[in-house]
Amino acid sequence: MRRKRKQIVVILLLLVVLSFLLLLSDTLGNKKDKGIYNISIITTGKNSESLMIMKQGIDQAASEMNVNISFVTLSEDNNYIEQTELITREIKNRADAIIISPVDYEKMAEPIENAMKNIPVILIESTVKSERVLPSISCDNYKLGISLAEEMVSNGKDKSNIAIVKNNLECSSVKERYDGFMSVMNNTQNNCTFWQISGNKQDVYHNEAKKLLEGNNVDVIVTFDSDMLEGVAQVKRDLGSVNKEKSSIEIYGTGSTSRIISFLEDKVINATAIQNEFNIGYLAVKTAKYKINGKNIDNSTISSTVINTKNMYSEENQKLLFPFVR
Amino acid sequence: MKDLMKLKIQKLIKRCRDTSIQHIISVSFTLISVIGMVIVGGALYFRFINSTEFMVSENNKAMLEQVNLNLDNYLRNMMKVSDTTYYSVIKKKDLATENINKEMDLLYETNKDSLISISVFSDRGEVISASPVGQLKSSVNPRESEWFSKALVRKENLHFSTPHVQNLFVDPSYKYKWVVSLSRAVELTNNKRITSGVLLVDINFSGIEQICKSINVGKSGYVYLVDREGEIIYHPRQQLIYSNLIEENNKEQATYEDGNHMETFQDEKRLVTVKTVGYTGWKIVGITPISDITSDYQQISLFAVFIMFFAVFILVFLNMFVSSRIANPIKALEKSVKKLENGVKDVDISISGSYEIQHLGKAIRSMVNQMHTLMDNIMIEQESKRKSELDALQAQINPHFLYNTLDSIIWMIENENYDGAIIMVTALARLFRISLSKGKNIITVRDEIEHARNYLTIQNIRYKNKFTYDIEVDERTLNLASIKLIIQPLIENAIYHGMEFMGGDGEILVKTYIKEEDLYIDVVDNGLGMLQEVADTLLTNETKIEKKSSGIGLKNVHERIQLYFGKDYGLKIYSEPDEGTTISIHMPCVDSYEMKKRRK
Repeated sequence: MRRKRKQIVVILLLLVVLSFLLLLSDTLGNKKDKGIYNISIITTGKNSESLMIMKQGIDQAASEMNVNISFVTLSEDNNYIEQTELITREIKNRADAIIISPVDYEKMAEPIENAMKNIPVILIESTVKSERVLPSISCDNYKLGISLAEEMVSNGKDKSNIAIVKNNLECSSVKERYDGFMSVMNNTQNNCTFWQISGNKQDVYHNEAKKLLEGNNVDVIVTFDSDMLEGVAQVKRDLGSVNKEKSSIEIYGTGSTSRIISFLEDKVINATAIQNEFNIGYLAVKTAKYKINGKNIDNSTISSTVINTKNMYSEENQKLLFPFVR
Repeated sequence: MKDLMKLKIQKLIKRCRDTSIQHIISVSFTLISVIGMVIVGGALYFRFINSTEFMVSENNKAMLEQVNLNLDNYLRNMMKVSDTTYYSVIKKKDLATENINKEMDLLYETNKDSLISISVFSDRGEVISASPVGQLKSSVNPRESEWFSKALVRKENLHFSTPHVQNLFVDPSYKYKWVVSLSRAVELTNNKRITSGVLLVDINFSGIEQICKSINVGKSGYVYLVDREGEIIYHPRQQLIYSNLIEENNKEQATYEDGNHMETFQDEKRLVTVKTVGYTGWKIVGITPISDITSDYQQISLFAVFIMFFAVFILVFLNMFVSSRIANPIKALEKSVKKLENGVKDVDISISGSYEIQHLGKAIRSMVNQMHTLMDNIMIEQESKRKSELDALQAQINPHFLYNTLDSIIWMIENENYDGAIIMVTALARLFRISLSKGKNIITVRDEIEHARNYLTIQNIRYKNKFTYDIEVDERTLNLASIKLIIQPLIENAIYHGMEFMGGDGEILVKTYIKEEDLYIDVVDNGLGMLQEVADTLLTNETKIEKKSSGIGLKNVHERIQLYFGKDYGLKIYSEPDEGTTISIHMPCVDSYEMKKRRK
């Protein structure tokens, strides 16, 4: 009798302790799920203005998914050595994941593959040469190139002199856009010349572009990255005030900084192909979070559109082009 | 099957009846408390769930009311700006002669935080005045804008547009701001001629955003704003919706009436609260996913279960304690009563527990005590009754003996044997004197021996010297106490059974001595004797008292000794056929003087 009672007491005690533990683990478990992750984002250059919209997507995702974002820019555009160093540094700084826009298709392959052994790495915009399927968020850059070319052709430029700025071709996104563009060009009677604008400092580079523009007789200039587009457009505007002839040169490019938009509005730039950068940022963080938790998510493709002066204020494009002020 | 059930239930009931009081108390208390707990817990839980849902929906309503108030306030403010611009500035001036820029600037400056610009256009889309002063972009034609055409169509009304990018004026910092345009048709006085125009107040979208953003409805709930047609004006995840990353049920929700609605959107049940904003026809929509409300339920139910567990645990403990407090004294009492039933003597009846049980215990204890005293009394009475019976027996002298003796005396006197007669009469007198002994039961060994001697004298004469006798007395024994008339029956026994049939050479020896500090009186004869087995039965079996003897048998003597001195004492018979018999009286050595004192 006494022993039985003791047993009952022990069993009851155990039950109480068990239920208490359950309660604790439940609350603890909930907290664990809400853990804050640190995600580092490494860009291709020093200019963060071109990343404004993407940053908004990142911020939106960060606030929704409880993620700490550290935004790392390079001190010099497209410097793969620095980017490699930054990857190492961020891993050392205990980043849970890295979102990177690789500057070089070939040279960044190894550092990124190495980094992936430690933490998830998400590629945005561009990719690297790798046998593995890397998580990457970008639009179909080849298609974007084609769209841009078609926009140009539809503006009646099929027998013109076209200057193509070939900077940064080592970056896969630029390369793909270029390839896409060229695939259309090869079917037209356009005469393509290729420019390489060298120099890193703003004024050197400006002068270089100016010289090229003055010294050549071209009808169209095409660029595949936003910095270059801004630069060329600026040069055109500067020259246009002096030389009326030069203001008839049409400029096509990619990117959607507010300067590009104002150039577009002023008809300095004829058309720019843009991708939904907000989505890139948002999905990159989302993918990173999924990867940290060991879940898989499909590589998503981002939509892209060509914006010209006429359609820039259409309801759709407005939302794509102009970030909400927050 | 039914019978089996019945049987089982009966068994259960029987078991319940047979279980101890502690079991009954603790089990029934626990059962009742657990049932009560579950009922109360469940009731509270369901009540809580109901009230939570109700509270959430009420709370949402109140929240939206708040948003509505703020928004209304904000929009009214803007309308006031528009009104002021129109009625106090534009209407009062002739634009051909007067400039309204100053007043416009003033109005703009005072509402700078919530405004982007105030501007007046002619019906051809030319800027008449704008604040801050700006140059109209060359690519822009205001007449193509929605706000312009709508304002002209609905002349008396103010028109609120959906949010769009303000693209009218050249901004040197390339800033493109999201605005909500508030436009109205105005009458412009130009050189005393009245023409129509449009007054545009661009409201900073972030002001509206702030109002909606600060509202918090639940964990993952949110508030958003749609216009009459269901176009989103503000949504916390606006950009995501624009980018088609997520979807919102805005078109359908715009048709909802004000109040709370339940809907299932993308497999998610949610509570939708709608509130229409005055004048603009905008709708504030509050969304609270039901999972938000119910996500707490699991935790709360877990918590409730835990609390119930805990309470039941404590109750079980308490019940055990209380029931043991109640039952243990009763059990102890019952145990002692059971002992009593089994005839254990000197049972200590336990007295503990509550007042009633203590009382019971006390009552039983006093009853037992009384019973014991009664039983003792009965025993004493019985014993004394027996003693008195024996005493009475002992007092009896066989009348046969008396008759024979007196016959012998008569015979002697007739034969003129006076000496013999004298001896006989003297002996008889002494015999009687001692046998009376003032009614005392205890006499000295000396008197007892004397009694035996007189008896022997008489019998010897009566039996005409058929036997000889001898008395050996240890001097130390003479003053010891002896029970009265114990030797005489033995001698009588020896004479009748040993001597009667012998031819003159019978011998009887009476001997007193002390052995191992005990008094022994032996009566030895050399008569016929008997088998030891027969001798052993003499003291135990009910033997018939022979009529010839004095009526006091050996057994009687034996019992008397045992009655007085205990079971250790009494008679011992040693006998052998044709050899004789020795009957030994065994008594403790008690001084007769002390005996007297003790009896007093």
